[in-house]
Amino acid sequence: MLRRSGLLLAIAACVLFGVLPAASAAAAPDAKGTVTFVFWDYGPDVQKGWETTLQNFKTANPGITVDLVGAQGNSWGEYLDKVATMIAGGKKLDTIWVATEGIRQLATKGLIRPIDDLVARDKAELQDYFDDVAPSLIAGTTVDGKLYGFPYSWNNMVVWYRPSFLKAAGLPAPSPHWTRADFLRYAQKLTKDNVYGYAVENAYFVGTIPWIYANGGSLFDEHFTRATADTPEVADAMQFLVDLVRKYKVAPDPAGVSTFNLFQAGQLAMFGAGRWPILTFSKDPSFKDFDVQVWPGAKIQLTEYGVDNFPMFTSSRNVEGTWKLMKYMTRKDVQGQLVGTTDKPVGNVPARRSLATSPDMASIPNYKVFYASLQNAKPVPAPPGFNKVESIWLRYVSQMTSGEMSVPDALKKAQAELTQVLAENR
Amino acid sequence: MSHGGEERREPMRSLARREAFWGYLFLLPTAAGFLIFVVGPMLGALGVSLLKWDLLSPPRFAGAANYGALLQDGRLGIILSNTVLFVIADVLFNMLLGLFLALLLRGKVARGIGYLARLAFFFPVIVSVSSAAAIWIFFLQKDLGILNYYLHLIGLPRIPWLGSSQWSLRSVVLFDVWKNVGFYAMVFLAGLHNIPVQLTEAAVVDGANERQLLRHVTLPLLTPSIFFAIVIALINGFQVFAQAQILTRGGPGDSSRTMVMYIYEQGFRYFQMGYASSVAVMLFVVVAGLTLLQFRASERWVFYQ
Repeated sequence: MLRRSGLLLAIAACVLFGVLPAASAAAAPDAKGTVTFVFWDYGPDVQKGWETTLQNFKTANPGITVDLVGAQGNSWGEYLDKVATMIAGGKKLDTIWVATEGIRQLATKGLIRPIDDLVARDKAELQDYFDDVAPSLIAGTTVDGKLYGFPYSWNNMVVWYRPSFLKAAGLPAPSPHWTRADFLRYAQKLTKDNVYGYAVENAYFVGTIPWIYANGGSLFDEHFTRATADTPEVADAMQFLVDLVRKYKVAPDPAGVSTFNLFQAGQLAMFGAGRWPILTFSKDPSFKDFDVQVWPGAKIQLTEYGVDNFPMFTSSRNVEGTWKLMKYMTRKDVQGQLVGTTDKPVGNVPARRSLATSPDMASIPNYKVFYASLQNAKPVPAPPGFNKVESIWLRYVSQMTSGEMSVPDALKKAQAELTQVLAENR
Repeated sequence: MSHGGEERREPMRSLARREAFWGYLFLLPTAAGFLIFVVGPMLGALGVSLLKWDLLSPPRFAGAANYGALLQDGRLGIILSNTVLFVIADVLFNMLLGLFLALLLRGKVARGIGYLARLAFFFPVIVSVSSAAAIWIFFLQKDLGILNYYLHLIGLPRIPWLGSSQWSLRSVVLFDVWKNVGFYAMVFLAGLHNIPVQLTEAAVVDGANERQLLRHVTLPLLTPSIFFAIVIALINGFQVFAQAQILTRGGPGDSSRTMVMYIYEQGFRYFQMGYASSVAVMLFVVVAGLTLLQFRASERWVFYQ
């Protein structure tokens, strides 16, 4: 106990003086050389942001050069496409910024290596991090029982709503135990001339999976050995979404819907997302009419999350340097940059509980709901071949929501194609 | 005598060689660019089409398996048919509307208005496809779009421009014609200005009315421009990608998916580079064949002065 307290004190002191990398270097072999770090370059300030994040690392490790390599794309999937092209082109990479959607794909191909051996070696140094991160988040970077990276930031699906609209409709703020039936009642009461109660999106992470999870279903079994898109749970969830558009008419036609714009313009009362819409909403300081609540339960209370991290490429020629960088990204001061301020928030939630529940996250009033709902959350279903899975699923979702294919027919066809993807990647 | 003749030919040969050298030297940048950026990737695609390659694992030789798979691909027929329908509608509307606008601009229009009209017609051409398509989504959204708002005001039903198989491809054509018709109008306008005035004047003196003038003088002399515009429109039509990708994402289902979207999906979403390349080679053969046919047919209907 004394030993552990002493160690914690030592770590705390190191963090305080910003010399943790130097301390860890004493335990591990010397690290130097170049670490090539590929990141999703989705906007003009992204590279600058990473340079700021890595500034202290560079100062504390003058022998290590971090080579930042940006890969563009409109989604995690497209970004991974570009990374694959880089790898095919012979680019040598050491670590990659990747989310749950890409982990299993990279691990199955043997492109990234498990880090359990390194974690065991530096267990004491990492204990503070593991104590501060929910085990369910660690599951998001674990494949077949092997850990590939440290959760850095994440998002889970919650429902955003406009409190003033609820008030005008005589509805109280939704309860954390609200159900799909409650949700439908809210959506119906909130729908009126030129305002829709909710927006169904022809999307994977954002649009359909949370509803399927809450209904006790998924597109695949737990270990991705078989597709389960044709189960009654999936069918019921998808029928509910189709009905929101076509039967109850509480959601506009999903084709061409831009949820953030509609929500901010007052044409939409509720939509589903993680923390990221706050980036858009905070650009207008006068717009404060929003809050969030957990995803409504159906058969069970379960939502979906995706987490990003920095796994190490198997081909890395600088294991110690890359490992040092991976550990650096677990530090509280580094992840603290993910919080932002109440005026200038950041779009993701930090993996560390102490940061995710800090009052600095209060740009969204009910911000505690993000971490609190992690106990009822599962990672986005992302088998190897995720890009193909997503494309197939969206092709059938668009046919279901447009009313051009019945839910059972679409799911039967989707099931056949998803089964094929699993077989191809076995 | 013959000796003297050879003496004269020698400097001529030397001059010809020097001219050829300089000619090739000036051609070199374009030829090198063409070889590196066009011929090279084309041969590369042909080579990759014989492989099974997911980008992340080492490629394996697959022979003609990818070409065999083309015949068994249930989606390919729909996507090819979408692309052909798109090309036919797109070329037809771009040509007819482009010609109409060019004739309108050539007519007696006040100079200021003429310039403004040219600017208005050509402006969409220089706007990036992605930005323009993003704006068009706001126009075309079924329940909250501007276009349906006005249709609804005059008592017409809301049209699912982006969300129905019946309308999605038409919407992509509509957008593409809006985006590109200005270019074709300018091509036709330049062609109209190149028609010698004495020919039209002679026809008028001979008593030709407006319709006869258009049919027997203007259109025949405009055929080189029309031929050029059709070739360009056809090739661009077969390459349509961003318009449909942003407006409809190819949906619902595959109802507005085009060949280039499919190549992208197979290559960069499904990581089936070999199969994607075989689809690309197929598209190349179709486009090259059609272009060749056009050139052959042009001998019958294109009139050069």
